[in-house]
Amino acid sequence: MRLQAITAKPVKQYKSYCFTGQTDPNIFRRLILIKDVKKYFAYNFNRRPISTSKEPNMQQVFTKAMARNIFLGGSVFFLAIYLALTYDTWQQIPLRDHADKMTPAVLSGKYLFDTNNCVGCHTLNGEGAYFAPELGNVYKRRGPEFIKAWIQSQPTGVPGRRQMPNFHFDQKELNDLVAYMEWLSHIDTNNWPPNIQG
Amino acid sequence: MATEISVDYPQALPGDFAIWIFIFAELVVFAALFAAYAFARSAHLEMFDAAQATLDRAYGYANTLVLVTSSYFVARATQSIKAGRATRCGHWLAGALGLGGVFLALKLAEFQQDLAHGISLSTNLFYMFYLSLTFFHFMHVVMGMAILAVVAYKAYAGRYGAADHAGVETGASYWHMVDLVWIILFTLVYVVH
Amino acid sequence: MKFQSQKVAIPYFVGALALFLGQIVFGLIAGLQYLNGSFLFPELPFDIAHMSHTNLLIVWLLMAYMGAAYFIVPEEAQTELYSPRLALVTFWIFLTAGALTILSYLFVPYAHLAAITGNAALPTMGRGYLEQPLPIKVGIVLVALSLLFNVTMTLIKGRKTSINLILVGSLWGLALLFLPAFYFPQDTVKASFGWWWIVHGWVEGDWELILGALLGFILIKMTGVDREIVEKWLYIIVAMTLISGIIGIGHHYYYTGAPAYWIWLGTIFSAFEPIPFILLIAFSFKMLLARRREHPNKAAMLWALGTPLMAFLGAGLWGFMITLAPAQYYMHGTNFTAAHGHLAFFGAYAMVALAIISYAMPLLRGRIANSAAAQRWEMTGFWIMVLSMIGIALALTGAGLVTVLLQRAADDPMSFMQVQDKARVFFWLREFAGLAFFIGLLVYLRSFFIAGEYGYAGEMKQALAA
Repeated sequence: MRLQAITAKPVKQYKSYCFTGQTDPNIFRRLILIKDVKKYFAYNFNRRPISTSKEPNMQQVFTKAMARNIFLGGSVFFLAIYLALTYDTWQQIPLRDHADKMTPAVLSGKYLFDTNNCVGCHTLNGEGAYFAPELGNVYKRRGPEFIKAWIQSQPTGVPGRRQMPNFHFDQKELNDLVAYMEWLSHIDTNNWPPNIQG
Repeated sequence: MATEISVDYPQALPGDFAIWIFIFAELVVFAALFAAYAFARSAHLEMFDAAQATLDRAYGYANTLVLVTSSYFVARATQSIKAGRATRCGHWLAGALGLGGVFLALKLAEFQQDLAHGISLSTNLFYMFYLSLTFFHFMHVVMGMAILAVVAYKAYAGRYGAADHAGVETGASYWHMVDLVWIILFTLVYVVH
Repeated sequence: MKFQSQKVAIPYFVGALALFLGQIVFGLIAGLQYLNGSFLFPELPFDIAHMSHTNLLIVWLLMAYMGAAYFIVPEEAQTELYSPRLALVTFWIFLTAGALTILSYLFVPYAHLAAITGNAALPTMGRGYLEQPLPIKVGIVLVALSLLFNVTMTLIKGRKTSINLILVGSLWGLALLFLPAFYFPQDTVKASFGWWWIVHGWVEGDWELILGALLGFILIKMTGVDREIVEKWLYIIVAMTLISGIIGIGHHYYYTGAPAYWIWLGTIFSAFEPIPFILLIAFSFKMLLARRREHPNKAAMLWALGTPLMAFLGAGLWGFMITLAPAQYYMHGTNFTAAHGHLAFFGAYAMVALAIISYAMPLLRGRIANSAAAQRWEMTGFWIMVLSMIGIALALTGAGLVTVLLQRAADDPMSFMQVQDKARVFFWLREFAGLAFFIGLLVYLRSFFIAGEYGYAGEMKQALAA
């Protein structure tokens, strides 16, 4: 069907080949449509929306107004779908990350985590900088005591080794950070990371 | 410049060429969604079949009928405008709009029923696909109705005529696409197992 | 240049280039810290170098886009800018705020900075790209409002071309999308989900519109092709951007705690995200072939054609590599992302900024194009920067591959630091490529200091002789 529309030859001639059973001498050219498609595209795309009586199909135009409407309509359309999905996600997230377990200690740990720019070096569920290890599952990897001891013993001062600053946390702050990291380790991240090394 | 191409194109695509680019893009997206559905189904055949059996096919059949009929109405609308009968064109479009409304109402009732059964996007993979595909299509019906409403308004206002009916054809092309996608979707998600 | 008020773009462009230079210096420092962790420690810890690098990037790009807006909007609207004075004042406020931010990073410990800027009252700090203290964030909004007021008033009183509508519309989008920066939920998963409204919304949505508008403007001016055709292409390109990109945001939601359906939706829609970039290439080369004049500013043309190609490479190809959920399962949070980030930010957003600067600066300095000698320097800079950025991306891809093979997909996974040691050779390569980039930038900047303008007679004689 479309073959007729995009081939340059008049339909009549093409039809006659079909009905008389003659071989179409240009059959390969017709099968390899790329050239015709390109021509067709150029024909539609580059025409200005000024139709004159000479044009065989005056409605066959590509207008800027229609392109703009598609841009605006398409954007609003997909934005609406995104908002609907976001609404559903918003209901699901507290179930997936156990928001009911966000105790004051967890929240205080989170505040310390943010205001000391931990994601400036580390990743948290894969987001952040790639200078230092993943922290989303560090609780499972290292356990609470190791984490506290590690934070307190920084910087190692080993020449050439990547250095972590000492943030001078007191015991309560250390416990809060660990509480936050424990909470992080229970988020349902669709089984990411692939293994405990993060 | 390519503007000078003077090849004779006997049967061009109806309506504005821009809508065909959009239709093409939409069909590619739906094709990818259907392919993903098929891929997921092949990995969880039994679960998909079991979950599919819980769907209420009566809604699906009714909606197919409604949409196919509305497509017929839209086709009659383009015929009318080509004959220069703008008011009749508007009537056919209004009818198609009404049927679109029926589709939305039926689909909403079905969603309501699913919701009552506690089905959500996170229930399982089948319902994830079922809900997102039908919701995505639902939104397309809404969009198609918005387009048809504008076209119908313009038809009643006498902005189209026998010589200038590109707008009606543009809207009709989009609506037929929405219909086509539903037929594939219905077959794939409700029927084939 | 047709209107005197366009001149206000000059300080924006100069400021942007100066900050660009700063960005590269911090990048080199951070890159070196990957190799020698005690370099500049504790005076300049990695996180400070890193956030200076990323924040300077954002600030110089925004500054260049603002300059571009002040240059393009009056010309397209065919009227003087509503208030050149306001634009100038805004520039100095913006530059001061930007410099203050970097200085505060360098000299005040981050937690202390948070404490003295009222972060406790409204927490906003500690997220990537959004590390700025609260007053600076408010300042960014005020600067954006001033810009929006100025260009919108200009647009209202002048001609409303599609390029102008897309440009001003996307500047509004840019400002609106920044507002979630003030919303930092206590729920970490929600915070991450919302963080992408800004980051994805900017770089995979709104900025692509700015990119399209700037490129469209340059191509109309340089090729003399019918505006109607350029604008049609533009609408289709930006439509494809948003059709694929809005739900495509799902590729950030696979493994950060959001529901599992994003794995399917994100994979399907983001798979289409390269399409607008392919269209952008087709568009620019088609316009080049259909050109009606030979513009003497060859360097600007080189930038304008390089932009879609490099944008496709960085955003399209490298982005596609990590966007499908099964691949991202292993690549998420590795240097694959860094490779994509470098190539995409430079290829799409830095290069389009340099393209508009390359086109506009000679005009602002009262000549249609720079002398052939200056253009040779500029084009040499182009090639050094482009090739070394590809080198950076390849080196980071190598480092990412080491992580995937030894840490993510290994039967007996190594720890993070062990893997980083194995990837040292790639970090060296990245640093060398970065150094080459720096040299390329210096070569590029050198071109601004070569006097003289494009001489038609001389160049023509040369061309005829050859």
